[in-house]
Amino acid sequence: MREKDAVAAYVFLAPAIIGLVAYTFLPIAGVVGMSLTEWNGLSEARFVGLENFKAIFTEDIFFPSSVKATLYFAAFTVVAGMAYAFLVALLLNQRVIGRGFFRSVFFLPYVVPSIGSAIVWAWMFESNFGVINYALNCVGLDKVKWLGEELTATPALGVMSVWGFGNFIVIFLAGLQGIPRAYLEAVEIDGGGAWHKFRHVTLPLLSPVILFNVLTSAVANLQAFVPAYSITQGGPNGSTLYMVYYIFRTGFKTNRFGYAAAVSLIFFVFIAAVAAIIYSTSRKWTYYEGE
Amino acid sequence: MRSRNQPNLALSALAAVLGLACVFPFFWMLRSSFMGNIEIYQYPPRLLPKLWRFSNYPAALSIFPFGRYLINTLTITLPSVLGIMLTSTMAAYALARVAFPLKKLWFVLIIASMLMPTTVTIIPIFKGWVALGAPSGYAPLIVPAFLGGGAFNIFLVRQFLMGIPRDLDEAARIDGAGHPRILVQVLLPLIKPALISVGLFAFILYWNDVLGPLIYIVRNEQNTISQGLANFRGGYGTDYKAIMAASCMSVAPAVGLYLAGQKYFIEGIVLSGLKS
Amino acid sequence: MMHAKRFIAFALVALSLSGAAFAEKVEITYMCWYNNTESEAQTNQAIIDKFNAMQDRIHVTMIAIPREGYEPKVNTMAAAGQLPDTTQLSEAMAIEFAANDLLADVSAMYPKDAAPLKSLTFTYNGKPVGYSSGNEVLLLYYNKKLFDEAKLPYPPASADKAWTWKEFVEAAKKLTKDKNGKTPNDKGFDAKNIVQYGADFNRLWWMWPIVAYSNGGGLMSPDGKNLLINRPESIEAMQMLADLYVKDKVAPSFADRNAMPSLDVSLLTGKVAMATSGQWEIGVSLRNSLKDGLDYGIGVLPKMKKAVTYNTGAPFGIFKTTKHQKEAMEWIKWWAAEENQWELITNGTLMPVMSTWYKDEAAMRKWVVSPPRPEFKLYKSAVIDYAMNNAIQVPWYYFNGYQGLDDILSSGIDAVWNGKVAAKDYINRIMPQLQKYFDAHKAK
Repeated sequence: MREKDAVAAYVFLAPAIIGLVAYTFLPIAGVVGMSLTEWNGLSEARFVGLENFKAIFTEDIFFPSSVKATLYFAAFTVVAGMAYAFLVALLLNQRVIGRGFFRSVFFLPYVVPSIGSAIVWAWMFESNFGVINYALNCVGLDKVKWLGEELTATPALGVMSVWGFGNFIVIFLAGLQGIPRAYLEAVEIDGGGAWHKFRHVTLPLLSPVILFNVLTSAVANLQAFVPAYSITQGGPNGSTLYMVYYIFRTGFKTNRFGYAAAVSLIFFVFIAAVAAIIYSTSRKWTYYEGE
Repeated sequence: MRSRNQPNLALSALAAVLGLACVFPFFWMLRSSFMGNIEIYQYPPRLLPKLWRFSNYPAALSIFPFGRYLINTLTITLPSVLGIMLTSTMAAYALARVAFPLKKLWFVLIIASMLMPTTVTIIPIFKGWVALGAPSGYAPLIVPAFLGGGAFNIFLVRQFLMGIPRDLDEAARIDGAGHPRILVQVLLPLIKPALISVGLFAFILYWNDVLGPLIYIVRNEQNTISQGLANFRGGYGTDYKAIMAASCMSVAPAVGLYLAGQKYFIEGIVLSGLKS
Repeated sequence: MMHAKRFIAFALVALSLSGAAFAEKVEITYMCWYNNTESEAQTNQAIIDKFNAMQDRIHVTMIAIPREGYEPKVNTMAAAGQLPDTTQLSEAMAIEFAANDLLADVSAMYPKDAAPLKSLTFTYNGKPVGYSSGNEVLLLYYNKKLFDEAKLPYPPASADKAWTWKEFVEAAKKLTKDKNGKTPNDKGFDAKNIVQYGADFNRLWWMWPIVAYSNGGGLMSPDGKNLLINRPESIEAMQMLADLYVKDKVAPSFADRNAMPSLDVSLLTGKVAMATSGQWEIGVSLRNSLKDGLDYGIGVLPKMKKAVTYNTGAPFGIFKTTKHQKEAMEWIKWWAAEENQWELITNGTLMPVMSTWYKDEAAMRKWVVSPPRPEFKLYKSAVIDYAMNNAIQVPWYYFNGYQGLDDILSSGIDAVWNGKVAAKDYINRIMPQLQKYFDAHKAK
């Protein structure tokens, strides 16, 4: 039985394993090889040992601001985005008029092509003629140079990203609706209030879903690319030079593939560390019904 | 105690306010797509066009061949969605339900693969396709979908499977069912919402992809919607009324698909089998 | 019966002939970009079809890539050893490709006395590796109506009468308006709510250093051996440019520029009264708004110490990796000829590259079609004479690695344009990095 299980499992896993080898292991081996060279993609690579890594930590003028920008963006989108998605999901799980309609409303931004969403938001945030500044003007506030200031550029791009978090809302909602009514009723019978229900039934039963959303949104937003690529090109003053865009620019625009490979390896380790931390602490707060 | 079926007015009002904010960018996109060049840059901005310029759409279509883009995008997207739903479910089942050697390792490796920024593996992967003799066209974009369908989707389906009590498959197993039957007959109906979600997410992923087509598509006739949209911004400044019209057109099919499938997508979630 | 036989015989002969012709044709791939929409690629394809139809030895296949993703695409193809035979090159990439031994020497393409203008030659190690497809210069565009309303004379249209920077700023101030109609010269001017900017001097990464040259400094010496950007004159010029937004309040902020409409719409809608950009704007932008009533004029750039402008133009190149260098050269020469780029030349996008088109008024009048170009006299003095007498090359014509140099130069430049950091402090801060990069890449 055991052996049969193992064979079946590997048959089921076979496509994923082939994908893993072809799309992750081999390319990573290639990237590791590249990272030890100086290679512009145009002529032969030159082996330089760990020079690239040394340069990243000692003389790179972009790396520190890129780390800062990446963390700022990810922290903003994960915190604001999870709060938004969870709040909306809770709201939609209540007796709200036109609930089905609102579900669609909140989900729809997710289906907008990211380039299209970048275009319309950049247009709304534009500081001279943009409608957001017009709204500020209307309530007597001065215009804000949203995408032109180091402090506000990332939150502005973050709002745009969070707007498209419809997928997380739906996943939260699926989790919420999967909570057996009986559990909630049991709390009511014991005289527990709304907070009690939320704290002792909803949160624990939802914890695997929360873990999934936090983990995937953190990983996805640490790798933010489109906002920097299509709106700010890393500016102002490096404040939106998100790591993946930096890697892209270093490799594909300034022809330093070896160096870009080294940066991406460091970044890979960093993301893995963040994910591992989230995952390992999750043991304390997630609860699986099936186990 | 309030009646169970009474709608909550305060929460409804909150939903309306949030919903309005959420819809606003769509509205802005749509209203801009009917404006003229002068009106679109007017300050203070006009809420609605003075004169609705429906001709913006035929004009945009003449430089943004939407029909062809749509067919190309679907040619890539539909098989990919199928591949992702199929192979990610298979992998997720093994990881969630079967005990086998090195399970933990594979799980960690699959999750870890999600962490590698794809930008930098572009070169090695492209070289791989060159070695296989197919450096351009749709194949390099579709094939990966059949290879596990991505860590995100495997993880999502696995999480749903983990939430389903094991008694169900144990019972089927005692009845003599093998793994394929347990998956297809017992579990699949229960994780339908998750599957529909995966399908939709996969659809959007491919619908949105910009870098993949840029690298692998060489012939213009094969361009996708996202590429067409990205191209608008190249070179010499942006023609906002045309790009807004093009954006509206690009959003429409995805919105249509969602609205057509939302019964299954959302009702499926309501009737989710998670209650066991 | 007879008829059918003859037909079959004829068909067989035709078939064998075309088959033979096809088999002998050399296949050449040509990669180029298109801006904004694919229609540009279709226009190119039509020209290529013409070439293919009249050729019995060469067949050209076009690979058109959106401008937006051109560099990544070319670099990916190069890294995988998949380069096409011939290509349109982004200016900043050309010399780097040459330095990596990928671009063929094209000195054999033209006889000595009939080559494109010397100013349009990309040169590496003394050898031409590509010629610009058009002769482009930076100019000052303006909306005549806004000048008339403000009762101001139009900007000078000849280099010897070029505005000084001070005159330029004064005019710009009179053309800047806040939402109450006040100018920066008026009391209570509201700089936070400007509705019409007087002047937008383009701060695009490769364009702005022209002010440093105008002030007697520059980015680097024309032999590519010395960095000049840290000269006091260069730094002073950079600061004066930044001050258009920071102190004079006549220009949009650097970030706002990205959301500005295309030049024609900016001028037409009065977002800006005058703006600097390249000659190509006539063809790609300004002509689109003529039907909406845009009446634009062209002047020369304001000068700091001397009247100078940049010339540039994307080159065509032949990759050394091609197996058919001779045919590739034949194709590129045909493709680059003015007769075959005629539409782009007459619609205002390109100026010709061969000196014959500039030799007398009759030759010039053939391609200076107005509209879209302004009337001949103005155009000749503000554009043609200016280009012939006052233009210097953007350093990417000779410097290996301009993109990488700019990567450092632009790293925090928005802080200068936004007034957060003085130009002097900024240049001093990045100078060690810049110098190190420059020394590793400069001409030996």
